[in-house]
Amino acid sequence: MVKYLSDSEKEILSVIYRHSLAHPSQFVFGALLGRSNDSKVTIESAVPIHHGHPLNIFIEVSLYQVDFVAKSKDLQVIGCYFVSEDGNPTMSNAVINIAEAFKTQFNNAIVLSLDLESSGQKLKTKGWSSDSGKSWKGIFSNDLRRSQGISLQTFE
Amino acid sequence: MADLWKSGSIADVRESLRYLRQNRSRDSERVLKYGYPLIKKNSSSLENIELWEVYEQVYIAALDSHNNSIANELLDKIIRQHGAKSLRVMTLIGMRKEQQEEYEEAEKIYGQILAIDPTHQNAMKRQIAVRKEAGDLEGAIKLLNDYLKIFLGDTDAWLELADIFIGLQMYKNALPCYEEIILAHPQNHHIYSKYAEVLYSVGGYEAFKMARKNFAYSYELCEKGNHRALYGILMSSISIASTKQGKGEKDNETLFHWALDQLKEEYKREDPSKLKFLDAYVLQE
Repeated sequence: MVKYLSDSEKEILSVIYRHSLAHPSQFVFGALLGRSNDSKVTIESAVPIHHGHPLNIFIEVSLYQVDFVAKSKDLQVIGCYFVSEDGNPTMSNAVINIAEAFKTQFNNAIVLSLDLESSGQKLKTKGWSSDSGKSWKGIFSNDLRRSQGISLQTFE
Repeated sequence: MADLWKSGSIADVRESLRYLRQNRSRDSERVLKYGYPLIKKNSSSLENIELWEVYEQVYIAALDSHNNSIANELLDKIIRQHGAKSLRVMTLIGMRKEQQEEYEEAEKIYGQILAIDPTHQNAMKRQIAVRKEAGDLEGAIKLLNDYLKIFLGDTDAWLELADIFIGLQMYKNALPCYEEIILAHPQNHHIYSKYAEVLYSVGGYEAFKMARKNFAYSYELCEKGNHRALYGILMSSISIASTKQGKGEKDNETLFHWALDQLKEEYKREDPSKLKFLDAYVLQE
């Protein structure tokens, strides 16, 4: 069972949130960079990649470049994030397509999303992992206070 | 045009509003901010036809901005001037219903318009928008197809249909939409790139080759700053080389290296610090 950790939750989620605010009526996605060690995966940062329909070419071009940059910083691509047009976090076919592409970089890839539809005073997130398996399973659901930032250290 | 708005003069605001109307563009925040005072305080400086066009424009901007008090005020004035039975006014009333998410009411109004004039373009478009907003993409596709049977040359409608198909990952269905747009705008390099990107998503040796061809034509039509096309040629070449039929193809390798060299020149010129990114792109031998 892989454990996902982060000491930079606030920065990571603020990148994702700002990316979604920059394109409020469009699907957005990006990469998650981090380090893996035995059964622990630490998420270090988020990199916005694209807004609009995630066609294969955009995913592939970005993976080339993000992977290259990650390696130069002694990091690796450990997953992706997305925020859908309606703010509803669902593993649609389009998201699975992106996730599978990122899984080629890292077997225990994580997918993170903001649940903007359910978020009111609190910013809600959702995560999935394939955990080396074939299907994508929900691994956590978090409530985060907008005004106070993120309080939890682990996502498990 | 941003400077025209800032000057605040009546002439400049009128010119900005006219520019947006002629180009069918929206800038709702500024239209509301500068257009509403224009019609409130300086309506006498506008000719009659222009005045009501500005009313309509500011009303739509108010709907976009969810400024309900201004929207209601302007709609009342428009109805008093032109009557609630005018088809154009009925469309505006329907848009108000849409903004309030009363989709059934909106569809009823558009249905009434189309009963009087079955080829009323705006009403047909609004019906499609309602279906899309309600999440009924199948319904939106059907209405778009009906619309395009009448208005075959409406490029925006073909783009809209392509967009819906791409959202549903029905890439092969999106291709004919782009082909229609290419027929109408054969010199528009953007469309060739968009078409190529969808071809790329279809995948397979033939589709990758067509994608590469269209990226190349996009670059031929517009070289300056067309990194999108160059990256497209690069990625298509890599994908072709990864197929059984394309492995070791000399033409493919030539094009790959040519595109890579073009990109290197562009980066050397514009941002040498990012040249290293191109090291990531390698053709499988």
